[in-house]
Amino acid sequence: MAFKHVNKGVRRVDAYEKVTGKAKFGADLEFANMLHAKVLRTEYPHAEIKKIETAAAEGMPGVKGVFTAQDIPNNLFGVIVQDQQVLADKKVLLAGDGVVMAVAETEAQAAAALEKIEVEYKELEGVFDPLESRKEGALKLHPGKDDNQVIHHPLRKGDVEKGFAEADVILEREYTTQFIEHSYLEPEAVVVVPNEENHLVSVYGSIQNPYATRNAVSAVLEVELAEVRVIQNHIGGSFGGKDEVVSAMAARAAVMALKTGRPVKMVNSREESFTESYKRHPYHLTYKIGATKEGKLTAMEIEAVADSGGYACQTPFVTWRSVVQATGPYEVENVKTDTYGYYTNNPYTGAMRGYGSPQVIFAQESLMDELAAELGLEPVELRKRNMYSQGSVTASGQKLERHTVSLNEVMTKAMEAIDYKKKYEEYSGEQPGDKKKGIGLSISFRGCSLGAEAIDAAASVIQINKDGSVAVYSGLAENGQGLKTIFSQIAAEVLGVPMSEVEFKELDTSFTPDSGSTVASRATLIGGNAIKDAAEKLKGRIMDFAADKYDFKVEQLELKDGFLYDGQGNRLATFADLTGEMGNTGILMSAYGWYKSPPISWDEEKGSGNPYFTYVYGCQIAEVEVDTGTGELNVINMAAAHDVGRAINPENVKGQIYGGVMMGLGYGIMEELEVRDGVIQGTNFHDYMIPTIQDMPDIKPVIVENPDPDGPFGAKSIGEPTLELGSAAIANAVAHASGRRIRSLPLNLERVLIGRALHKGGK
Amino acid sequence: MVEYQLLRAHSLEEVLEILTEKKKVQILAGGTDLMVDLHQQDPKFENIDYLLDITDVAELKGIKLGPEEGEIGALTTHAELLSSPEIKEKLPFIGAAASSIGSTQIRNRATIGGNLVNAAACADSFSPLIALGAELVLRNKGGARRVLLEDFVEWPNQTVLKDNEVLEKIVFKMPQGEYHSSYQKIGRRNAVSISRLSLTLLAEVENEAIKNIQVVSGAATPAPVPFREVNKYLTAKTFAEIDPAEAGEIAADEMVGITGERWSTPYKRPALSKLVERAVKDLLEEAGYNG
Amino acid sequence: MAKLDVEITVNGARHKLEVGSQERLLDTLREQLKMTGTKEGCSVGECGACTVIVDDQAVNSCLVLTAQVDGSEIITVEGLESKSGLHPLQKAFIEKQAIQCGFCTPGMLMSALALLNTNPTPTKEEIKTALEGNLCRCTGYQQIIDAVEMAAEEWGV
Repeated sequence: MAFKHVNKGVRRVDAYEKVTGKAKFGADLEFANMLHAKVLRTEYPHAEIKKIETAAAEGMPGVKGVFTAQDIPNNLFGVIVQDQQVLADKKVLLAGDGVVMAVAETEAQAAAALEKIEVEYKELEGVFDPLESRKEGALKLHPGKDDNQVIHHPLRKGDVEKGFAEADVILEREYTTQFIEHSYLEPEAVVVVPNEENHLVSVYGSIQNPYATRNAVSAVLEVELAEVRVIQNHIGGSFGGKDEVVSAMAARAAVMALKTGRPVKMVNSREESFTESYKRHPYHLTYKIGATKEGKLTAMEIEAVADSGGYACQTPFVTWRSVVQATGPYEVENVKTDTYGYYTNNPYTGAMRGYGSPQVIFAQESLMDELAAELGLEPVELRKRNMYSQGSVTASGQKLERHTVSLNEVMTKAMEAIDYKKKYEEYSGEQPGDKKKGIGLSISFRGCSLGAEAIDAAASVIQINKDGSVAVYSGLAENGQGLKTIFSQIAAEVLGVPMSEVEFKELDTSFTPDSGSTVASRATLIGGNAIKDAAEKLKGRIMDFAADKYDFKVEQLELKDGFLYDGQGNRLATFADLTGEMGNTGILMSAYGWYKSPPISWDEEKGSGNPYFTYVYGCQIAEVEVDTGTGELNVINMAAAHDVGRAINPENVKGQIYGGVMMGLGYGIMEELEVRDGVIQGTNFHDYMIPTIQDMPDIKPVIVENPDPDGPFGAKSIGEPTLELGSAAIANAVAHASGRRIRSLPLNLERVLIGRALHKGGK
Repeated sequence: MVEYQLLRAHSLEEVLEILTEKKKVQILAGGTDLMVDLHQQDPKFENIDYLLDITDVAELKGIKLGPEEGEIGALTTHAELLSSPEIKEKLPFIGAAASSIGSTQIRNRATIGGNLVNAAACADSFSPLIALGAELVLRNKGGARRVLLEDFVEWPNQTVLKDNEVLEKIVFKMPQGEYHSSYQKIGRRNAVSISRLSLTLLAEVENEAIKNIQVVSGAATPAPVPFREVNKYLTAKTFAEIDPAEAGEIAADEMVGITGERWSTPYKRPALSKLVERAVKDLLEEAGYNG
Repeated sequence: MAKLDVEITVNGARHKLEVGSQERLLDTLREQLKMTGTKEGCSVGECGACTVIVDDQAVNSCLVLTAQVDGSEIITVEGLESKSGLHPLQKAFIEKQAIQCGFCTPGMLMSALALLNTNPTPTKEEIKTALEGNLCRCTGYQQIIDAVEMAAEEWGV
């Protein structure tokens, strides 16, 4: 099938604004008569609030109000469990909980007011380890809950006892992963304008999920959804991170905007962002695996314990993805998996690109290499003997048949791209000197979109103006990933108009339909289908009209490059004239698009069913050089092969791969948010290091295309798979190079040199 | 709330005048450390009434390397150091240290004097200059005094610079005859990274033997110091008598002797030992010894 | 606190301003001159989002007091586009898909411009060194390097 716009590396539709500095981000917004607000956050991870003294702050110059939990109509919110406090009321549950907020004429005045507020706390003992939190008799953190368990997802298949009895080799291993900061370059920012255009409040800012934010603000204010309007601006990165934390910020600003009757702006400093935002979940993982001496897996028993921090946030769903994918893409007859989340007094944890997959993949793909070594097999060979192929049945009992199971293809192509076989052999031999090279790989399957977490549907609106220009609205949001461009390409492809005729409009919850959140790598797949649906409806109307007008059969006509053609290549009309005439004839030239995912199922008791309607497959390979004298680790080359179904924009897909690989590299070798007794040690980028341009390996992106029957033009997902594979591939490469197996992330200087991490103040 | 008055000096004389007349003056040079303190509302600003910007003072800038002696003005930026052909040719380890500091933006502003006066334990400018036996010229209105760089820092972030003094320049004797040098740094990533460890080695050699040597580490000890035991072990030895691994062990012992067993010692001990071993090996190789 | 009089040239236009003693160049650009293209990402010189060019050098505008650059010539992202259209660097960033969220883009463009102004034919290593102080969390940097290389080629002609 020849495409005109789809499957092409067209330019981003938002590029001009972004290269000229014209693009307005949250902190760039100004409104007449605008006030500025700041939040006082606690330093205690667990404490009772005894007394709050605000009088002195209220009398400070420029101050228009000082507010506590008492001023919030409904203080609890949450996407899944409503346990998160807008401002801490009786207790603070984590160091960083907001307690008091002040609004003033200037940001400096608001900050000065905070210094005059006195909060009296009674410090409480805290729980800082989920393995402690789960113990019977542990200090209970949330009132009204019997224990500290946020969630437990079991999965049972076959009989693991029997499976281990059949095994010739059994390995038991523990792995741990760390807190990770999203590190979007733009700190959170919102402006809330009261009583604007018949809305009680309008919310502008760096918002990942406008509908989730609208839900939160309306719940907190106890007003109808229609009274809250959320408008998304350019957002400076999110990666799952600008959801609950921004919702809380918007809710606070909304309360103050209504109290003062003036627009209220809140912008976090980087330190405030580190202190209050949620993180990627640290996991404690226990894996037991059995295999025959021929290398056939017989059983897997898995336990994954996630630290949820002070609030439930997305823990129930994050750990659900973990339970589905915990075995990795391998056929195993007997599986017993349990994933858990527990409250602690640590920073709370939520959605971050990958969403419960990077942790289990690090463990399970490290384990596969350990098992291969135990069996005397090459890592690739062990994988080939067990990995999913067409028609395989997953741990939850889903038969993979509706889409192409391309694990072998992605693995083969990644291996070719990096010359794996030759390097594997070369580095398996003796290497003189301290600097040793190694190569390692990892593979994954990943369920696309939300799966059985929630209703999975999205909407769109397309409007053709009288001059033939096309306005596209989606309920899903640009996060920087390129959604506007992808959706514009799909609309242009269906309608046969040039890209220049398509205008993508900012998301505004007042008139774009609720499409859920822009998460789970679902935008292209679900949202793209909704765009396609609206465009096809309009195209149908145009073709019917044209067939009638020119006395052709619909099948003989074609819309292309902004013209209507007959079957012989003759132009019959311009798109603009044709659609203009339709409008003047009284034909509706707007259409809603809608897409609801194919059926899925999940039995929460047994952990069985068809949790996702389609999957993507990926393989990443890392080539490293380890300095066994100093612990320095250099990732030299990486190959990343991903089946995306169809690349709507291959250049954009490459951008996702490069970016995801680098984020995965950071996860693997340098990033770690150090939390000591609930308190983050270092709240800016000099303490928390993310990869710079100098840390970049040579990355070879490989796009594999096996169009999916349910994807728009066959497209599936790419955002998240790119970051979930790197850490295991690097850990395997390090083990190959140095012989040292590291089972905790990140693989920093200390772990690489002496096998364990060291912490300031530690023994 | 931080409050201060900003003053700008345009000559050294003006700087000294202000330092004499006013109390609680903090000098502002490149600002890459001080502006961070300002952002963080560091309590040290409670003792600062005046910020004195000296970035416009031409007398404090410049690199002069003579045959016998060299000097570097305190306001010389790291960018100027690493792009100086003279430094590259004669004192490459200074350029290497400068290029490892911060980013291009930081190096364009940050000064060598600021790095020394701020005196962070991990500051990268110390070890190369201590290896040179550098002295600092500290000037007040009454005149100047010279302080050996290794005596300059009392403890991290605390130096012997007095309130009425400004660091004018760094002076040192140029290495003579055949000499070799190296600079190594270990950080947590490949750029914009604070040193976990750094090491400078500077040696004058003659007749297949070490005539003079300085092995100095950064970030290994609270204040950077030369490793006297290592220097002693290496000085006057012929190349054939030197065991690089032993030199490494001596350095590691010496470091632990100074710091005691700390949380970071299990890593720093083997890593420092390796850096010293490599520096000595490289030296022997560069000097043409193939023993 | 007494205000200080300064005169700076921004993108060719002269501005006589009164600035506070704690006012950073970043604040002056964003708040006084309403040029919000320059971004604040960390305020401590680690991320490079606030990079501008001061007298031909890339600097973090969060680490410079405006009073310190009295008399200087400053270039910001707003100064790149001219009447004859987009700057070759801007075109290359668009062409090579070197942009995702766009928050680091202004700083990246300024660091790249400072490089090409002094070194029109940089090696890949020189590009990396020039951009090592500009963090990007989205792109993984590759397409940014591609863009700077492309701009160097086009601009050189």
